[in-house]
Amino acid sequence: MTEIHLTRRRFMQGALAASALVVGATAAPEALWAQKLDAADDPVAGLALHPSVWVGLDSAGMVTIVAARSEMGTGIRTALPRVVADEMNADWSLVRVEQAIGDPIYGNQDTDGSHSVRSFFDVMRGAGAAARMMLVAAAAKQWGVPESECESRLHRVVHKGSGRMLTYGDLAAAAAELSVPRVSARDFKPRKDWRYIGHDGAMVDLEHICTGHATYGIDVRRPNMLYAAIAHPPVVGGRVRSHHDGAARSVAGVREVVQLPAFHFPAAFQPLGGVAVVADNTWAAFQGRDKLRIEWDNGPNAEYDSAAYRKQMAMTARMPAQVVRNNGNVEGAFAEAAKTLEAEYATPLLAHAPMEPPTATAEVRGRQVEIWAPTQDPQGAQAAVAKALGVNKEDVIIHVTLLGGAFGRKSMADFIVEAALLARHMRRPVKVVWSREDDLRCDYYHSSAAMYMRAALDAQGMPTGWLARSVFPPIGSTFNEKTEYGTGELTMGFSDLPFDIPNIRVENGPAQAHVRIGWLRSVANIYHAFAVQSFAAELAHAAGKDPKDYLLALMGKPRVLDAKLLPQSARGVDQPPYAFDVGRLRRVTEIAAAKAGWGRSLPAGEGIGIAAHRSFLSYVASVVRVGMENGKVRIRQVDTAVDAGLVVNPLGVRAQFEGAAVFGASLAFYGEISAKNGAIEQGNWDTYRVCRIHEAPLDVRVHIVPSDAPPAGVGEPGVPPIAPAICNALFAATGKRVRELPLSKAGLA
Amino acid sequence: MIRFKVNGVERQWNGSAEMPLLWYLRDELGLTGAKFGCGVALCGACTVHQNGHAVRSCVVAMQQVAGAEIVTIEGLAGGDGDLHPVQKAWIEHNVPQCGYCQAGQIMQAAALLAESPHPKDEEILGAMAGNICRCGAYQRILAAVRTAAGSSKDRAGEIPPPQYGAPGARAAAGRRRAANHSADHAASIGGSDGEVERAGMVAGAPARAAGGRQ
Repeated sequence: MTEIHLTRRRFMQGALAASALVVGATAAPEALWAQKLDAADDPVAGLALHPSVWVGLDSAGMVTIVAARSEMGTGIRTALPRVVADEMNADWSLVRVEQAIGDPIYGNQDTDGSHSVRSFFDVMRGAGAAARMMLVAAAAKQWGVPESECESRLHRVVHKGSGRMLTYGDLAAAAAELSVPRVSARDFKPRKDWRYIGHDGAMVDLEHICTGHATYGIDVRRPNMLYAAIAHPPVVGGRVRSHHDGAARSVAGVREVVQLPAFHFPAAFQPLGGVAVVADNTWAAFQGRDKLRIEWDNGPNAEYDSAAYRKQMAMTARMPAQVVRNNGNVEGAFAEAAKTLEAEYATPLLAHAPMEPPTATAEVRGRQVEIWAPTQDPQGAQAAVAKALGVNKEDVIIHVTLLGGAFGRKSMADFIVEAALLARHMRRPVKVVWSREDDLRCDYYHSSAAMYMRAALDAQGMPTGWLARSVFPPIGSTFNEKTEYGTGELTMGFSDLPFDIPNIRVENGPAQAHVRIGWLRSVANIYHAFAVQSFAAELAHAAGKDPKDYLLALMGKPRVLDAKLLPQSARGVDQPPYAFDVGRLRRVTEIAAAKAGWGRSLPAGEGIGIAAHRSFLSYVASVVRVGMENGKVRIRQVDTAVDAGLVVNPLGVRAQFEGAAVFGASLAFYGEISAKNGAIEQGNWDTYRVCRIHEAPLDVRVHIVPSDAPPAGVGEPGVPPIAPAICNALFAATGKRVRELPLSKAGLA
Repeated sequence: MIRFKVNGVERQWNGSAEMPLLWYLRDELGLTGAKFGCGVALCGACTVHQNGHAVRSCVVAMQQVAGAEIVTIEGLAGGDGDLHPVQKAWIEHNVPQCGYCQAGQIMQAAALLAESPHPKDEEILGAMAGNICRCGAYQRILAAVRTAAGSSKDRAGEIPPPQYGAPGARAAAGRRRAANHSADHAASIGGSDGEVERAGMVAGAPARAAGGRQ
């Protein structure tokens, strides 16, 4: 066994090393187990067991729960451990949370797609239930009574007949001697007994954050560590033709200048290449980087002009394209229509711009690699580093720090691989720190999109035919640069159209990527909800009807969407428990409208707008009220109704939807990345603006709809309705219909 | 040799006089509470107190801190570990999401309240306008500053729409200037938004922030 394997086990076990009882699970609750600590055969860790563990308990009664999902602000490091603690009947004040390293034993750790609670709720319950059952069994054995006479209460087990009591700490060692019970759903606590699930819980890191003691990726410090800044090619696919580093090397504190391996398409998770400056501190590295003189070969994207290409995308959207969904006879509907209406919508490239720019720290010892990084996807990073360095995946340890925001950017491992390459070269720990300019110019951008919408209308102004085309450089282009058509993007609010219209055709036209395209919080739902929900309001206006009533009429009767009407890629929408239930979408629409006081008279110059959208299996409607000041839109109030099924931590969910209103307002008001000659034009917060406090919606009211449905997403689904609701409110206030984001382009923000 | 105090401890620095205080704090002292978010005083994540004033440590050169008292988030709580009222309010309102910007937000708010213990909403927004929160915790930031200031207008769901007009208008003017902002200028006023910062924060600031460690 190599040293790294021992080291690896130590890390995996370290979190629970002080625990007497350890309960683990793979990704399925039936695979639970527990083992007692046994130091005999492993001097490093003192814990001889399969190392996938979720919960441990020491003899002092302290519970350790492992968080295997990345914390980027969604509160997942709090929510899932509270599920374990609830099922275990553990006292939350005696729980500490430890972050897992990257390892498939924890199941899929890629913290994206708003599915952490949905995918791990039952796994966490299983781990907690097994621990509780073992503690009860240990108490029964000690007392020599049947288990049925014992019950678990808060952090202790009580014998009902005699009133005898043992604490969890008292029972830890004895419980660890027992085999792990097979847990089924019957063993879970009844919902009425939940003490944490469904109740507000503060973030576990709250006090550390507020005192400056929380550790983010950029805060990692290793003995003997060096710092690196990298001059990346200004154009994706560009390469270093030559570089002169004399001036850079003369900066005090600069140790080395290193040319990184050249970039090859497709981009995937590889670094962009360029030249790194390694120094004694971040400032020296930045100074040295600025003094490099590099001649670039800008490669195949050197001519890319984002404004020109967006015009081309708009033209593509006017042409027949690949059919994604086809119901009824759309041509016939248009031929017979009393009236038709068409509109074109456009949205730009967007950057993630997390407050913490990409950063990672690496240490390489021989063929063993250790990484500390703010990553959403530690297993992806593990694979990318292993591939780049030619080592085994198992020899790469990824420690996951807190993430200073991510929004999808930190699913990508490019910056982590950079740190690994440089640490190997320097034979010392290296921390790579990207500047804000690096972050904004070297992102995996949210795609720009052009959408063409056309409706055939009957005499009452209701659509009989719906033609919708979407054109966007697809995310697939990041993994195969020839890819011009979308896949998953189309099911994000476009081909899964929930409107009750007899003739529907949805199409996807081709577009090329000239930058790296990635996933941004709520992904293609952003542009598709913008087009669909704006167009719905335009149709309402054309029909002379109230936009909310018209939107509900478009949705039609409460029903589960008929999968036969949808493309193969959207199948499953009729499958319980996550069928697309139009009734739930209607309900959030009605609740948001009622809570916002829809229909009441507004002060002069104000307007109110609505949008409803289902994404990541959650149903969300937002009503936005705006006013105008000096010709600029100001958001007065946002009411968001959300049906996300079972909500584990309402406090965290409210925060997610408050934040989503700001995120949506930022992209609606200001968000735009543009490129000339292949290079991104924005560099910092002055040119890539996001809402500041006085520009943000500050009266956001989140209405969580009580639901018995299983948990669905909450991190992303709040974003899509905001931009169309703002634009619909703007129209109501001013009569101006904006079909291209951001609003600042039209001088409205 | 530059001499100064950080969180009450005497320090000296022999290295680059041009190096921003932020990197000295983070890389040399290991005080990583102040965060890097822009490097040019546009986001406020690096905010610390210099002689009681909120400054953006990413654009304060080491030569500018000679003789100064610097307080970072790590030194904001009292010596007995009792948290600053702003930190308590942040915890009460569960302000942070990712939390990365919050040290800067807290330091900014603490400096505001040291100068203006009972600020109006307009003043709060003006003072906080230089601190970006990408997660969008602004509503809770406003509520927490009100709580720390002893205002009662902070109950959840009852937050009245704040007065946008004046600070918004000033901020827009500040943004138009931002493109030409030199780092020095930004450093001297502590943010991207000169007028707002001056109006809300710097003018007449006392010698130290309330609760800052001596």
